[in-house]
Amino acid sequence: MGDIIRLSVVLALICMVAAGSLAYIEGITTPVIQQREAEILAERLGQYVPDADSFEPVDVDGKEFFKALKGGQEIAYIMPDSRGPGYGGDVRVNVAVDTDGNVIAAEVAGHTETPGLGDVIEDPDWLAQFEGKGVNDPIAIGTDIDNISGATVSCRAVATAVRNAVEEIGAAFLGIAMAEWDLDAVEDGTYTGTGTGFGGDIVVEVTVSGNQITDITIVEHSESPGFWENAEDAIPDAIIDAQHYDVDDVSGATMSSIGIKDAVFDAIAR
Amino acid sequence: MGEYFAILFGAIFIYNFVLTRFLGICPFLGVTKRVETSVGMSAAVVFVMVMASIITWLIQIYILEEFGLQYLRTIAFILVIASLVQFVEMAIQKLSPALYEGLGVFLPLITTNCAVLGMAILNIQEQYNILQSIVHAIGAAIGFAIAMVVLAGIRERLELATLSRYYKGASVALIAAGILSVAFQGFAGMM
Amino acid sequence: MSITKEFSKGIIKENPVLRLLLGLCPVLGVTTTAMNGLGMGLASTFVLLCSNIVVSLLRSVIPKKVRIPCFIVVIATFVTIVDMSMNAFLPDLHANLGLFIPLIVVNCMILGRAEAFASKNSLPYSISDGIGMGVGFTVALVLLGGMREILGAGAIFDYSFTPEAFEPFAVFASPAGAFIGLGFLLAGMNLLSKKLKLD
Repeated sequence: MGDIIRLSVVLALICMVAAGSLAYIEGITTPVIQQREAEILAERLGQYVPDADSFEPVDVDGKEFFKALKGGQEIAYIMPDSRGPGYGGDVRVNVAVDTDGNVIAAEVAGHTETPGLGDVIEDPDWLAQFEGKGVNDPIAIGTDIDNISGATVSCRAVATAVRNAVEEIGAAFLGIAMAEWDLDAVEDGTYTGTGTGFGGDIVVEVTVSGNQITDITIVEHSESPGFWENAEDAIPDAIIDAQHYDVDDVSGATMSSIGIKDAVFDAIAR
Repeated sequence: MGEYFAILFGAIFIYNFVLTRFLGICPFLGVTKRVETSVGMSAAVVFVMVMASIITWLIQIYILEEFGLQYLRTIAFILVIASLVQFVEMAIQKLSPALYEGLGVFLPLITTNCAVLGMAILNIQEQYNILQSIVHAIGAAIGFAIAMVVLAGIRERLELATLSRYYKGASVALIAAGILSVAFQGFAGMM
Repeated sequence: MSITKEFSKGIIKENPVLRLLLGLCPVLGVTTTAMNGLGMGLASTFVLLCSNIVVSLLRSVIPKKVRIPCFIVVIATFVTIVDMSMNAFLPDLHANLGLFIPLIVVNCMILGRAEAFASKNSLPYSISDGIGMGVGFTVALVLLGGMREILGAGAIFDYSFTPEAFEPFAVFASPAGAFIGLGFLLAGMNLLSKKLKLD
C-alpha cells in the first residue's frame, strides 16, 4: 500500500513540475506567436487594402471576414475564400470591398482548374476588371466582365465568387439586403432578367401572378442552335412546375440551362 | 456520407500512413518479416487506433479546450495512449486468453508507434468531429494494415532472392517500400 | 568506459538511424531538404540531451515500476517546449517539420536512451551519450536530406549549383525517394561497417 502511494506521489510530482514549466514557457511564446500571426495577416491583407493600418477578424453568422481599419475607422471589408463552382471544383477568391460596397481588389486564393486552360483566371490584369464593381452591377461574364476563351467555366466561377462576396459583405456590414429568391414578396407583373449562357447574354421576361410564376418568355439569346433548343424547351417549363429557379440542367446544354436559370433568378430577386 | 467516404478513402490510399505520411515505420520494418506477425500487429493497431481516436478527441474538446490547456496536448495524448494500451492489454488477458496469445506481444510496441499519436493529432488539426475522427482512425488503421501485409508478403519472397549481402534485411525492405510508395502515389489523382 | 567513447559511439558504431534503425519516421518524413534534416536533427538532439540529463539526475528517485510513464512525461515536456519555442522563433522551420515535432515524443531513440543508458549511468556519461547519439541522428538526417535535395532539386542547403539543363529526379522529392534513398544509405553503411570491421 505504501508502495502505491509513493509511486503516485512521485508520478504526480513529475507531472506537476512538467505542467508548471510548460505553462511558464507557454506564457513566453504565445505573445510572440500571436504577434507574428497578426503581422503575416496584415502583410497578406495589406496587399488588398494598402491604406489600412490594421486588420481585425470578424465572425458574422459563422462566416469569417476581416475589417480593414485606418486610425480606428473602418475603411474596407475583406472576405477570404469566397467560392464559385469551377470546372475542377470550387474556385476560391479573396475579395476586398470598400465602404461604398465596391470591389477594390480580387485575388484568386486557390483553385483546382485545368493547368494551362483554367489557370488563366490568376491573371492580375483580368482580375483588375472586377475593381469598382458593386452590388448594383451584374458582375457577370460577357456582360461587364470579359470572358477568356477556353476558360469560360473558370471565369464564371470567379465572377460568381466575387458577386457572392460583394453581396455577403453588403449584407453583413453595409446594410444592403442580399438578393433573395422570395416569390411571396413579388408583386404581380412582368419582370426582365439577364443571365449568361454559352454564347452571351440570355434575356427573359418572367410573368408573376398571385405569387406564382405563370409564364417565362425568352426575349433574346445567342446560343448555339442544336443545343439551345433542348434547354429552351425544358428549363422554363421545369421552373414553372417547380416554382423555383433551381431545377436540373439539360445535359448537352448545361451552359444555356444555367443562363436561363440565372436570368429568371435575376428577374425575380433583384 | 460522401465526406466520410472521402476521409476513409483518403486515409487508406492517398495519405497512406506508412507510405505517404511516414508514420509507424518502426513496426513497419520490425514486424514485417512474416505475413502472420504483420497481420497480428495490424489487428492490434486497428483496435488501439479506434479507441484512441475517441478518447483523445473527448480529452481535447472537454478538457484541454475547455480549460485553455492546448499546450499540454502532446503530454496528455501520449499518456492516454500509453495507459490505454496497458489497459487494453490487461483487459484482453483477462477476457480472452486466446486473443491475448495473438495480439499480446504487439501491444506494448504500439505505445511508441507514432501512427497512433500522429492520427490523434491529425484529427485535431483537421478539426474533425467525433464521427469523422473515428472514420479517419479506421481508414488510417486499414491503410497501415494494407502496407504492413503487402510489405511482409514482398519480404518473404525477398528472403529467397540472391542479393548482395550489404542490401540484405532493412536496406532492401526500404527500397521495396519505396517502390510500393510509388504505386500508392498513383492514387493521388483520384480525389 | 570513457566519456569520449560514449560520445563517439553514437556517430558511427551505434548510429541510431544507420545502425540501430531507431526513429525512422522523422528520418523519412522531413528529409526533403538538408536544412529540414538539420533542423529536425538539432530539435531531437536537444530533447534527447535534456531528457538524458533529467532522467539521469532522477534515476534514484524514480520508482522502477512507473519509470516508463515518468520518462514519457519528461520527454513530452521537452518536446512541447521545443514545439512552442520553434513556433515562436523559427516559424518557417516549424511549418516545414509540422506534425513531426510533436511526434519526437514517440521517437524510440529517445525513450530507448532514457531506458537503456541514462537511467543507469551518472550525469557526465549521460550527457556525453545524449550528445553523441543526437549528433549521429543529425548526421544521418543531413546525409539523407542532402542526398534527396541534390538529386531531387539540384541544390544543397537551398543553394542551386546544377546547370539549367539538369533535370532533377522528381522521385527523390517524393515519399518514395525517402524510402529508396534510405535503403541505399543503409547498404552503404553496411559496406562501411564491413570495411571498418565493426561487426
